[in-house]
Amino acid sequence: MRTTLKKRHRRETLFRYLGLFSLLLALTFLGGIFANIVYKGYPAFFRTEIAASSGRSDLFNAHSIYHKNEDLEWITASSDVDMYYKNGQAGKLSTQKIQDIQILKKQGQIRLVLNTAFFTHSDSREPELAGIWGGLVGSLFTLAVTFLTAFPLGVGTAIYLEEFAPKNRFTHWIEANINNLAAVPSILFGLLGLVFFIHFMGLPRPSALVGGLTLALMSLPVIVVSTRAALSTVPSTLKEAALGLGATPLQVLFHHVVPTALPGIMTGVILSLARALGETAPLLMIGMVAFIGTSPSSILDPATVLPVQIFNWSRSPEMGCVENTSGAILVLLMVLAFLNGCAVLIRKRFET
Amino acid sequence: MKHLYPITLERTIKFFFFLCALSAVIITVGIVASLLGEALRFFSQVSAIDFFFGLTWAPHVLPSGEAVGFGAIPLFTGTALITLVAMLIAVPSGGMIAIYLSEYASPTMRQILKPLLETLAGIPTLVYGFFAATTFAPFLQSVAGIFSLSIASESALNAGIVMGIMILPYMSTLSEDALHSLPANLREGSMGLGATPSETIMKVLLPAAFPSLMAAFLLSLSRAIGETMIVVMAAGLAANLSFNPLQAVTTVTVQIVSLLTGDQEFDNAKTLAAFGLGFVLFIITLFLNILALYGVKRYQRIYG
Repeated sequence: MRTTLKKRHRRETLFRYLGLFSLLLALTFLGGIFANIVYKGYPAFFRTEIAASSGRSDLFNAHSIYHKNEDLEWITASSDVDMYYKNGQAGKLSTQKIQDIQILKKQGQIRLVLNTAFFTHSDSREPELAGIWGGLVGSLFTLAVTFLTAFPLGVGTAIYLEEFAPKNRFTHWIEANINNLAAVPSILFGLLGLVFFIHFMGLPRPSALVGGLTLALMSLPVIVVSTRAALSTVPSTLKEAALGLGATPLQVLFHHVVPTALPGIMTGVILSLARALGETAPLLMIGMVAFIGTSPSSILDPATVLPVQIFNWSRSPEMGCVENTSGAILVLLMVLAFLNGCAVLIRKRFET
Repeated sequence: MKHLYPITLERTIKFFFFLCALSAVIITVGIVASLLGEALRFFSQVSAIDFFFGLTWAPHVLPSGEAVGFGAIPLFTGTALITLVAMLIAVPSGGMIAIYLSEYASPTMRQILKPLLETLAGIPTLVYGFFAATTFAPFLQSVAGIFSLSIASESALNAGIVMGIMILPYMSTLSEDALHSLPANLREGSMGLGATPSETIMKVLLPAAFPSLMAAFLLSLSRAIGETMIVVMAAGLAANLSFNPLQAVTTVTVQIVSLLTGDQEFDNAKTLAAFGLGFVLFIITLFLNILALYGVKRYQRIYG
């Protein structure tokens, strides 16, 4: 009896530690991924410059020399020099040049500055000049289109299903469709966007409009599910009291139910937009994968979005692109963390 | 009575909400119609038997107009292999994490870790793909080097493990919800009879939550099968018919992307093949989703 009990307790402790171990392992792995990307990405926020007075035009970025004007004191270094100075990767540099860089370093003619170009430039063929501005603007336009279409449609659907829909087979079928759509792989929404928006409606191909509409299809079911959850938490006593005082169903809806559920609705919308912001696969389907060196000025212009730009950089063989990719991923993760933080804050602030 | 909404407005707005609700149906019909339409055009050029049972995937159209090399079996086995690796990672650890969070962790710990896991589930898969391609693949190669094994840089193992890590937060939050929603009297009854917590979990709670856990598993599986970016970045394009996780394999989603990111002539069998593959993907994930959302419900017992 005593021995079996001992055995059972030992098994209990083992089981418990197995759970803790799994948890720690998973968190270590995810933390490792994050640390790895921070480690690789932060050099992208810095840029190597060489004093113009050194006259070493062979170490300058070719593009910068071309636009060189007289009063420019510091000139952006070429990608190879940049990589060597920051990470010590020799790459294609000759030993002679590496020695020269060491000499420049001693003379104080080479320096590291904050790479503002990374945020203000659009994509470029040269990694040391490339920036994420084009992708950011493209993402903003795309998300605006997504929000403007998915938000009214999604909230409208949820209100219908939660407040007005009769309990019949048709309603049940709509619900089944929505639940299923929420779990359809995102790439299939890209195929739908390709057939419907581009080939059927003839909208301009790599534009924020088509990208946004495609992502709206994907976000819609998520918004519907979360909005319904928010609406269902509104106590029925509130509705009954308003109805009893003579309010019409729509007055009850717009004056009481929606305002009460609004924090929950906004949380769901923000989270679904965050998901849309990080989505890449459906946008590849509708041709947003092309190289675009400018930022779009309307939703009809050829545009790229941040995740697609990251994907394109990640496929580039240039060494400087790895740090640019990681840098851009860092920016993307920060934006997503901000959006998630907003969602949590709204939930906490209005939690009752 | 000017401040009252007129009845017609009331009806119009209700009708507008109804139209919104119809949009979800229209999207589903749209997906099915667009995939099916293009897939049927594809099967008019390539026989369905060659597509579903052919062993070589090297799609091209001969000058004579004949489309050859559309055997999709290597893609299906590749998808299955990578998914298997991913689920082998995600299911045991995800399940243990769910058990730990739901049954052992203190309320504070749970309150911190649950939102954290939910946030982690929202990390774009592109990020995991980049990690798999640039960091994890070289790491696996050096590990394999120690055991003098040869492992392809775009191995199924690499993509599968990272995909498993990607699914883990999703799997564990869904399972945790299933366990946590069980009524307390199940636990109290079992422990009152002298069972240890782990015995309670294994013999009472897991069987009671089994349908919901099954649903969590099926939804995770459907996500793994439809996952695109990790495999596009970390798995190869080479359509090897192999069950060796150390070799490079390709998946259905990778091929859809590679077929459609080139030229997009709609009468070309290669482009149409993407829709054939997309249709297969849709049917498989639809089946899994329906099974998860409705099939297992029949076995759900109501406690409380």
